[in-house]
Amino acid sequence: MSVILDVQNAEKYYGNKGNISAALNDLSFTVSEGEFVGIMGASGSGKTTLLNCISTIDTLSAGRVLIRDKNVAILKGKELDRFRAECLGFIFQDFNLLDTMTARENIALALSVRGEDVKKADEKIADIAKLLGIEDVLDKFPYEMSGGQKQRVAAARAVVTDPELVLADEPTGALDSKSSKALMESLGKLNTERHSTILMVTHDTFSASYAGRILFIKDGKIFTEIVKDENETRKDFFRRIVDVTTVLGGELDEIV
Amino acid sequence: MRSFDIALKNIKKSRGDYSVYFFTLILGVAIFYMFNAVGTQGIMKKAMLSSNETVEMFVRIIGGVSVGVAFVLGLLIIYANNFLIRRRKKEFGIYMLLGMSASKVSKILFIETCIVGFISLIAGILIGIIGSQCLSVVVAKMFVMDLSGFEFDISPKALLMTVICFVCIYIVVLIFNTASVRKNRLIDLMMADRKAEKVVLKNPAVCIVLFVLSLAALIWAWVNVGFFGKTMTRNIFLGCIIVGIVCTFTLFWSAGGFVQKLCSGMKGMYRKGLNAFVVRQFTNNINTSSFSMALISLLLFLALLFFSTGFSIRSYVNARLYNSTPVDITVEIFESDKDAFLNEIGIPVDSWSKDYLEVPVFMGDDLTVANLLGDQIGAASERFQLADWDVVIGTIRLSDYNRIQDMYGRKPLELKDDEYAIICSFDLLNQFFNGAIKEGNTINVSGCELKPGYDAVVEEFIVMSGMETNLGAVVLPDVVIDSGDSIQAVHSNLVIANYIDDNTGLAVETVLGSDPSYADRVFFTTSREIRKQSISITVIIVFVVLYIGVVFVVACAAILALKMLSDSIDSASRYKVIEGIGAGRSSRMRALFVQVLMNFLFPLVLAVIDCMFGARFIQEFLESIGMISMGSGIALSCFIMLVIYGGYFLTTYEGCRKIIGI
Repeated sequence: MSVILDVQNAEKYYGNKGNISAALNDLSFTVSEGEFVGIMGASGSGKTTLLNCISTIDTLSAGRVLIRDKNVAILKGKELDRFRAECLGFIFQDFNLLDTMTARENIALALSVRGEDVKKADEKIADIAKLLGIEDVLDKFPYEMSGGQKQRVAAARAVVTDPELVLADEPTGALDSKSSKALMESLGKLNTERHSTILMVTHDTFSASYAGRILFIKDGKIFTEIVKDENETRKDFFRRIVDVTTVLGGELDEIV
Repeated sequence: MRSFDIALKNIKKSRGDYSVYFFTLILGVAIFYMFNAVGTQGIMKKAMLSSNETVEMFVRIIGGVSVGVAFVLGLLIIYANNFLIRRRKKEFGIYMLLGMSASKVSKILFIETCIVGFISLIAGILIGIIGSQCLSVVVAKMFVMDLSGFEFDISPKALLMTVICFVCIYIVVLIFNTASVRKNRLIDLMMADRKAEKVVLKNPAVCIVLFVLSLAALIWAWVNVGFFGKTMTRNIFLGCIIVGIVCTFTLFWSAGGFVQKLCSGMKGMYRKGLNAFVVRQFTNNINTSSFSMALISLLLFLALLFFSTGFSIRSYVNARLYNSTPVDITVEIFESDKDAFLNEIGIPVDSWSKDYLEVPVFMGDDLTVANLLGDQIGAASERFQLADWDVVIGTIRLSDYNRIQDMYGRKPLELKDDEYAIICSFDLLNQFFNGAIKEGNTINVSGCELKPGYDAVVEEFIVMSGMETNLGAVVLPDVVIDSGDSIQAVHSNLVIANYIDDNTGLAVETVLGSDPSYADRVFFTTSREIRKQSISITVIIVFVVLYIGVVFVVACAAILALKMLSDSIDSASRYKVIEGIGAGRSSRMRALFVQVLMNFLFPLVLAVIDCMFGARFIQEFLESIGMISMGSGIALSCFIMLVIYGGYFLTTYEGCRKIIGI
């Protein structure tokens, strides 16, 4: 399977001379096509910085981020706009739906900014709505929907354009446990049925258990990585994640 | 850090927010100074030909209007200031969270207000000084005056008035600001920017019905006013005004829903690029501010109407002046030997004119107004109950009259030996004269039976007059006057003349006007005097109209601009979202541009349509009292609107762009 995302020796420093703190410290990993990768770590571990650098919102101090072998750092202006439009889809913690537009219009907008034909767009919207179970709310406004529905609409909007990479930043952060479950199942479906490549940042263990592989970050470095075996149940995978997060939280010998 | 430094930094930091505020302040100060100063400037004195009374009246009227204007500007500035405060509540919250006392925060705000006020006052006055000079030149051009003696000057009185007025406004602003920091709790300050974004949705079916009904009612009012203005009854006219106002409000209330439904119906267009987003933004803007938008539209309409009528009165006066002052002076001497009189007071005609005409006016007992009115006298008496109908009208030989016609550049009259003609430019009387002529009223002069030679009164003047209310004269064939015995005395002698040059002319006028006892013996009218009178009246009208109109436009544009700016704080997050969806910078800028433009255009378009029909009505009205087309007035008012409104539009777009961060 081909590599979609390749992060090589990523380093990011904040501050100026004499007072430098590293948010990312020589961090490398790859994501292949069709993977569902979770990134976990405590607050301040560098998760968000990493996501920002991948999504071209921020730039690295050193190292490279390659998406489909293209260095995102050298893109500028129109090229960058086009790259973002074509290659990336975003899901945010606070949904970021346009409150003035219906769900259908929100999803359609993602297609129309890419110049998609109206007829084709309608078909695509119908497909994705069916997959994510949001057909009933398509003509409602965000204020008429529940949080889970909003986030599924946001997910639909992120993937309807078939981006190379879907970046999800704490997608369940603002949802209750029931909605979280429904959303994660939806994301799982997107991964298995539509073969969307998803990179999800979270610190919720339950959400993370839907991923196929999890990277643990600590102090700007990859602490460890666990992969779900083919025959492993989600329950077992969940236990392993909990184990790692316990260790991640603090090593015993650090306690004096 | 000293409070002053913090204040200075704050202003620099929030330049984008301050831009509209600054623009309004500077414009306000400049307009205020400009109109107050222009009255005392040399060129205006010249316009009113140093007649101190009219200059004083002008200054007084403009001063009176200025009180109202200061009030409007004051409210506007406070409104603009509140927008700034709202935008910066969180900043003040942080200051207080960091332990700064409320009084220190107020102090910073106080210093900020002072700096901004000071800079805008200075800038406004500088622009106002330049502007008032330009205004003088424009006035001079408008009324075809020469610009010699034009000099650059500053009016200390206007300066003082402007400073006092605006310092008062700033003090009110200061009180508001201090209060707004002190009365807010910290939690409100901190949470100020987390207020839920406003989305107003209305029932589309109700909107469509209401929109169509409002539009139909407006069209009814437009057509009535525009095409049937002359025959309209008072009640229908009042109805039109009420329908116009009410339906403007309902139209704006329902426009959002209507436009939304209309646009989303056209799928191909709606679903192209960011169109859907722009339409939603625009309709949301209208929905949240339909009331103020309707009000703005009505105010703009009034401003446009003011401009176009004001200017058309100006062009009417200019045209009329040109026709009513064909020579420099007309003198009526009520003595049989005019030369003796002129020699006596030391101004024989030859000494001051090479191009002149002497015409004797005769008197005949038979030529009373009553005789000329014939059977119409009953109707006329009803209209003018106190009139003395036995007054004798002067008569002139046909040949003499035709020499006057030649001098004035008009067509000669033709009369047979048994015909007469009435010369009169007094409209109210003419209808009765015309009635008499239609009935073929004959008059009897020295035994000759004379019938009307023309089928209406000749609406011309013999002696120049500013009012065009000459009682006129009767023109009779030469033979009738020269042979008749009933025509005995010479009523007066006319001298119609052009001066050798301006200075001799002035000297003659001075001599004629020097002694009150001459009033019984001579009556003179000069084109200089007529021009002076009509120009000073119209200058005052034009200025008041311009003043009020400009202030209206500024107020409308500023309110609209501030509304857009505070809305854009809400829409900033939406623009962030469409950036995330993949809309590039240029397409986001285009979307914002269209959004702001539509908000500015919508009320203006309605106002322009209102004005087109309203102006038609007024034009018909003006025509009926003898005025001419309003074309030039409309063009000029469009230009003024464009500059002010366009300036606000661009400033707003830039401000929104900065707030949204594109």
